[in-house]
Amino acid sequence: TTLHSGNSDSKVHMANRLSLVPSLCKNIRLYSNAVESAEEEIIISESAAKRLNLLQEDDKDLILRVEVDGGGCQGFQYNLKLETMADIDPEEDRVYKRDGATVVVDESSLETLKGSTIDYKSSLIGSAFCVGENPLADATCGCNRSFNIK
Amino acid sequence: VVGRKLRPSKSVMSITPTAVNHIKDMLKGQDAAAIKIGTLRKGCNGMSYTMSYAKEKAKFDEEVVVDDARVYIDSKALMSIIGSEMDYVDEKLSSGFVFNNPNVKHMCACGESFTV
Repeated sequence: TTLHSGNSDSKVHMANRLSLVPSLCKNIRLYSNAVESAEEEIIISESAAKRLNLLQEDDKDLILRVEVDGGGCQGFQYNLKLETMADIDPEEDRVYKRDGATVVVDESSLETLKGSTIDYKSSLIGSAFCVGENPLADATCGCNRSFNIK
Repeated sequence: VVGRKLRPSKSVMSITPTAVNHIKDMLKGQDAAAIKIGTLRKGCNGMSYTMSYAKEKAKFDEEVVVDDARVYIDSKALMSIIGSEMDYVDEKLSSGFVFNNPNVKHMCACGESFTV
């Protein structure tokens, strides 16, 4: 009986796993679609695009540059700046767009930023542009500005 | 009231006019009496500020009122906030409340986390 119950357990286990597979696949497909449409690598969140659009009302050429520098309490830190289209270096910079908003990342920063979401987070205490969910980051600082890579 | 001595009493925290305006805007249309400020053990320097809406003042909370902008300071956070100036900074990249806190010894790069 123990063997039998063991079998049924593993069957249940398998069934669970199987039922997970389609949803996983769906996620993967969704993800790859999103990556294709957003020209891969960097994802711009809806709130970040909206905020950039708002800022563009004053300055049409405004872009958000995301850089990674060494420093901070975890080894690397994000450095976000507002620049203009004229600051884009066609040789080193990658340009990402969403709803007319532009985010620029240079090639060397991209190595530690791949797959990240550029977000604009709002809370009671304040709101700011930030790098959310960097899949390459291992430990992050409390404020999410400094990080360490896996 | 004869012989009453008038003592100056300074509020535990000052609030700049920009912060006052912002707090008033925040409280508009909210079912809350005040904004409550506290601290939380978080971040690389030990503490960070928290903010929430409060319906009523808890026992021992300190109250600061400037021109209809009402702020409660959590009694547990009082000692690390006392003497601070609460300001609101509105920049393109980030906007929010900042605390110019004379008790702070060390601060995180972004100013979110601090030690007193």
